Amino acid sequence: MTFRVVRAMIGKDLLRETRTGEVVLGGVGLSLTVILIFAFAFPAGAVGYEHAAAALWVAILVATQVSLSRSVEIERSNGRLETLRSLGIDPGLFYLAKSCSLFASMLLLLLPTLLACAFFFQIPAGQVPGLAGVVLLGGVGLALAGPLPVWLGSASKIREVLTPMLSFVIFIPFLITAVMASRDILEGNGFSSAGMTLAAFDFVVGGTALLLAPAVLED
Amino acid sequence: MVERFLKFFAGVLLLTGIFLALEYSPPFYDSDGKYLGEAFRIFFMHVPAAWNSFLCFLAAFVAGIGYLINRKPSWDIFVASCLEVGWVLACLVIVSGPIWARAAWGAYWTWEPRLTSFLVLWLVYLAGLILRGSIEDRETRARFTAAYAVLAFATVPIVVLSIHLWGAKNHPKPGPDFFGDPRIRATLFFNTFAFLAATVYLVGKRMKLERSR
Repeated sequence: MTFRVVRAMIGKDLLRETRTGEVVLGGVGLSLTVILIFAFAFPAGAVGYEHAAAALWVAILVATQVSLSRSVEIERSNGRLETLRSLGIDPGLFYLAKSCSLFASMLLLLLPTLLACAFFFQIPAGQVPGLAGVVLLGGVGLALAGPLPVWLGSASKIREVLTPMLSFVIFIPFLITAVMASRDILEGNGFSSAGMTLAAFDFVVGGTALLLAPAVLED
Repeated sequence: MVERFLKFFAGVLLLTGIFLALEYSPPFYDSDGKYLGEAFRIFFMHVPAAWNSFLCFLAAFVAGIGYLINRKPSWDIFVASCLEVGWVLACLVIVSGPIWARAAWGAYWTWEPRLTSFLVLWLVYLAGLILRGSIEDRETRARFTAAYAVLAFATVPIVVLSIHLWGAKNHPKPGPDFFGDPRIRATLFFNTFAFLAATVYLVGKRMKLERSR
C-alpha cells in the first residue's frame, strides 16, 4: 500500500513534468548560465580544478533552489496536499514521494550541468564518471533535505526572501563537502573522506528532514 | 526574587571572570612554544560564549522535539528563548574571534574550517529567527520553529567536528600545558560557569517576556 502510494505520487509528478517541463527547464537554463559565467570569469587552464568544482556546485545549488521552489509552489497553489490528506495519506509519505520525484527531475538537471562543466572547464573524460558519482550523492542530499526549508519558508509573509535564505543555509554543509569531494576527484585523488562526509550529511540531514516532514506538512 | 538573585549572581561571576582572565591567568603559548600575545585572553570570553551557545542550541533541539511530541506552548517559549540567547552568544563568538585573529594572524577573517562552519551556524540560526518572526499564526510559528530548531542543530556537530573533518589550518592549537596549567583551566571553567549563569538568567528573562505577549 505504502509503496503503491509513493509510486503513484512520483508517477503523477513525473507525468506533469514531461508535459510542462516547468520544474526542470528553468533549472537547466539557470545552471547552464551560471556555468557559462564562471567559465568566462575563470578560463580553463588559467585556474585549478577547484574553480570548476565550485562553479559546478554553485550552478547546481541555484538551479535546485529554483526547481524546489517551483515544485513546492505547484503543490501549494493546487491544494494537492490537502486533497491527499483528505484521502488519509500520511504527510511523511507525501514528502518522501516529493523528494523522490524531485531527485528524478534533478537527474535531468544535473546531467547537462555536469556535461557543460566538463566541456567548459576541459575536465578529462576519465574523471567525469567519478564526478557524476559525487553529483549524484549531493543530489540525493539536496532532494531529501531541500523541500523542508522551502515548505517552512512558504508559510512566511516574506517567503520570496526567506525561502532561498533558509534553503541556502541548510545546503551549505552539502555544498562545502560536495565541492571538496569534487575537487578531490578532479585532482585524481579518488573518492576522498569529503565524499564520505557528504554521504554522512545525506544520511543525517536528509533523514532528519524526512522525520520532521510530517510535523511541518500537517496543515 | 529568584530572577534578581540570578541577575546579581551572574553579574558577580562575570566580573570575577574578567578579573581572573586579565590578572590571574598566565601568558599563553601554543604547541610550538610561540607566545600568543595578550589579545589571546579574549579566549576566556570567546570559548565560554561558544560552549554556552551550543548548550542553548542543544536545549532548543531537545525542547523542539518535546514541542513536536506534546504541543505545549511552554515548550515553544523555551525553544524560542534558547534560540535567541544562543544566537546572541554566537554573535559574541563571531565578534570576539576576529579581534584576536587580527592580533595573531594579521587578518580579521580567514576561510578556515572552524571559522567558516561557525559562520554557517550563525547564518542558519539567524534564518531561523527571521522565520519565526515572519509567521503570524501562533500554532504554525511554534511548529515550524520547533522543526527548524531540530534541523538546524545538525550544524552544531559540524562546527565541533570541523577541525577533524577538514583539518585545522590556523585555528590555535593549544600547547601541552595549556589545559594542564591549573590557572588557565580554572579561569576557563570559571568563565564558562559565569556565562552559564548569565545564559540561564537571559533565557528565563526572555521566557518571561514571551509569556507576557
